[in-house]
Amino acid sequence: MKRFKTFRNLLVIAGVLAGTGYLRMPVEQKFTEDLRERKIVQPRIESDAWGEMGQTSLAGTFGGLRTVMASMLSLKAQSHFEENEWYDLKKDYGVITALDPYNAFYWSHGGWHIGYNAASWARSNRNFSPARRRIMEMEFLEAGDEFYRKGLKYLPEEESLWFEIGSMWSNEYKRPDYERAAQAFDKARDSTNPIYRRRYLFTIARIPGREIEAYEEAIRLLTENPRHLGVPTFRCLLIVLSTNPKISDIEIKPTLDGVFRTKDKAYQDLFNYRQRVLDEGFYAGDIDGILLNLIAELDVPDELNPFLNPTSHRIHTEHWREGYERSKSKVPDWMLKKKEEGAR
Amino acid sequence: MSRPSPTSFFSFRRSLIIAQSTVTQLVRMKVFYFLAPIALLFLGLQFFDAFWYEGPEALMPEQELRMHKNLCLGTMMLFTSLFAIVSTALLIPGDIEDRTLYTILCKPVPRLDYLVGKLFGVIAVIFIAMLVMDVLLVATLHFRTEEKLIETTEYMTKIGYPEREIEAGRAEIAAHGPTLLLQFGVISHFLKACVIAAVALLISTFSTSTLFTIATSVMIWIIGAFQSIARDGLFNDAEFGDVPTWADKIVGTLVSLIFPDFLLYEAISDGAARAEDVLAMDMAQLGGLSALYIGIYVVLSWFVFSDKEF
Amino acid sequence: MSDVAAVEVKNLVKNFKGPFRGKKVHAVRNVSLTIAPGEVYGLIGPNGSGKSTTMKAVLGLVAPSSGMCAIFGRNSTKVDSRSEVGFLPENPYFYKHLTGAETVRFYGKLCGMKGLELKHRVEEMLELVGLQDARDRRLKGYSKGMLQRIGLAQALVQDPKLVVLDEPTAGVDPVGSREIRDLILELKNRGITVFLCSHLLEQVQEICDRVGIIHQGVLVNEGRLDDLISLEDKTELILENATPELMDQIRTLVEVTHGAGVISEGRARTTLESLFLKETRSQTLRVRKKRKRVSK
Repeated sequence: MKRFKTFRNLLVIAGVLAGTGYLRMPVEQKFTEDLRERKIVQPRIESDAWGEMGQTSLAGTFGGLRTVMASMLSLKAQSHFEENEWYDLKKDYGVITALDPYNAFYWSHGGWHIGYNAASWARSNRNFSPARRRIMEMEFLEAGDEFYRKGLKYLPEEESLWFEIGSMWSNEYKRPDYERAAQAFDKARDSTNPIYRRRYLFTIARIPGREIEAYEEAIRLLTENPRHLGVPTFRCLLIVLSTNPKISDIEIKPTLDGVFRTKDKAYQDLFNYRQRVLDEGFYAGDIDGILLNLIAELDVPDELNPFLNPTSHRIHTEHWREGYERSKSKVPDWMLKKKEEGAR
Repeated sequence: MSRPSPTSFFSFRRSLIIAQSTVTQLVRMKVFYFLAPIALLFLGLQFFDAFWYEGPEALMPEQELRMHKNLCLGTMMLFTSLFAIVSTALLIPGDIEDRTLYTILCKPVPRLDYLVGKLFGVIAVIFIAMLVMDVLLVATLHFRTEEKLIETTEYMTKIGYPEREIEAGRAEIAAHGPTLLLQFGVISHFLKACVIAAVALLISTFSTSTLFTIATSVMIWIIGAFQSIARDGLFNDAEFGDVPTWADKIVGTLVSLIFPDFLLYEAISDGAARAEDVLAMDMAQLGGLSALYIGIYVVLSWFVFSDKEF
Repeated sequence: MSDVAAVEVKNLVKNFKGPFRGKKVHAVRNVSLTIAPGEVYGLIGPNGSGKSTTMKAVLGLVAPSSGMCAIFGRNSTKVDSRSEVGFLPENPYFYKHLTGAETVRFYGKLCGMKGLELKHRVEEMLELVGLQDARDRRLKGYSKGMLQRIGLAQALVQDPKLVVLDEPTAGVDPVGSREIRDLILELKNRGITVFLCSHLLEQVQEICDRVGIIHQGVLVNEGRLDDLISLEDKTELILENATPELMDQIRTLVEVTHGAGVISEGRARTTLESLFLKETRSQTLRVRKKRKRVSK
């Protein structure tokens, strides 16, 4: 009788749970889908991530401690960074982002480690041959790119990740690929963040054949938000791009006074911009012509003439003339000698 | 001497009496001592600086605060869930073994009152423990947030950010501090612990040993974390290359029908920790679902317990 | 109300599933008994005879396999039937974390008592069972006898009309045992019905009005105590300060009476328990007198 009762009880329990479960399920499913849409419910852990998880991470997943495990793993991953254990770090970030995919920080940080730090390590590691170094560097760059893009699948609205892809491919100290960088910056172009919008412009300006597009983009940005003029590179690009012979003379072009307010400021910015052209490969246009005109117009001292005195220094103030006058008495002998030789 | 009034089917007052006795029992068993290591952990997190470097390697302040919240909320969840299971599993078998149950049930105490009273008692102790942990969490998070606000303001001012952007940065950090949203995360863990206690109560009514009750409750706790995956498989079409077999469907159906969905509680808590927009409506739905779970488990417990012989 | 039996058991059968497949244990087989209000009824039998099972069926702790149990006309399986019942289980344990006073208060609250009524009742019960000094000590520190007494206190807290006692003096020393018996008699004097189980027969003999003998689940005999144990054809006569001449006269008288005979003759005996109580009380008095002299 007791056995029958136990069996009966279990049957009733199972029946009631099943019955109420049948009524409960649609409500729960709707609730879950709503939360999933709002990215409050984490997505399922991908099958390849299961295999990479250690026991602790697995235990945490079973206990509903995904984000806690992700936090703890991210601390552990830091030690891989310090020890240059890039493959372990990549594996860990694979697990971390599987556990907490809606945390943009992990995608950003992981991508930075893989695409920047690991790639730099590979590039500068003298233990490998130059060919091997190059291959490894490219591998890490591609892995970083793939990592960021995976993050964008979960967080398509996270423009910062597009920005980071673009920054990685436009970094002149790595293996710049401005086309790929431009594609990435393009995705972030409609962001409210003005920095993202300008980076697209700066990038396409460096791609041969896209100068007109760059100029149109600059005009578009200026029309939408004149505050872009607060950025020296933007000001210079606007002027330099406008010198492109393919731009029709009918079009109203920006003027030096309109963009820089003063000619002294124009000289400062364009002087510095020319350094970037020489060092970083920025779009040159007719920068030399503009500078020569300004030199003549402003009677720029020879010491501050980049054609007579090539230098890697920058002019730090628009009041460069006063600064020059003050320091004239302190001009070193070698510079005075050079000036005399030049005059002779 | 006044005669007692006729015994009603359920008396909230009687349940409260048993609940009060349960609270006293658990308190005098010194269960709150477990709060001491938790307090140490929370305070320790206050002083933990995760790989803080200048420049790009720096852990963003929001991420530091988020990490702090995740660790604290995770600890709270772990302890309250385990406590709910163990304390509930010990109560009824303990009363049966000690024969204390005889003397209680020989008074005009309906068995439902007894069960509800025991459950209320455990829930009350969990509530007190969570309150203490919540106060600690809010206090430590408050100090940490203030620290980050000062550091970030100084850094951004030094760099030359305009006032508007500094304010925006501060607001971003403050949003990850001790806000009302964080309390939603705490409440969701409390509700989860209550549901788990009700599960343990049900199992203890027909289980023959405390160990079995604890082990089974822990299994249900774990399976509950995956119930939504099984349910998803029933409601949504199979993803490309992922066609479920008949066995998958049967298992999935059983799991979805019988086990509670604990993922929802974790999701709300994670969302609150990430400062996502968890709404009061979400909490109301979660509360309603929890009440439903608890109600079902209590009714089933009563069904089993009502004709149990001692 | 006076027509309604305090306890009525009709054709009670209770079977349990044995440890081995298919073997039932017949704990109680067709037991019927009735306890009138105000009676002290003793259910006696050896260990495993079905006493406790019968008691549990009356209290609703187990459901009858067949038959019926009622308390003051209310079915035992209903919660209402326990409103006027106090129960002291065998080897009782209560919540060890509670003090004596808290225990009695707890059970009083469960019976629906509250406020000043409850407060006074708790004090009354503690005084009745002689545990005022230990009221604030946790039950963890109570002796066996003290636990029995606190058990009685909780059983009586709601002033029940029926008190059920399962082996009330088991494991208690003679002094405590005597006190419990005196208490039972006092309950009887108050008109409270007492239903007790015991296998200590001499104690049952002292206090019960009616007795049922149960063996292997069957009620083998039942009736008034005097009727059950008196030997109809034998008479006992206890004399005080009888002279040898008087004894001779009595012997002669018996001899000449047809059919009568002297079976045994000798000094009347007290009980070992009475002797124990007398000696312990005397010792207690001697010690008190000595202390008084020393303090003077």
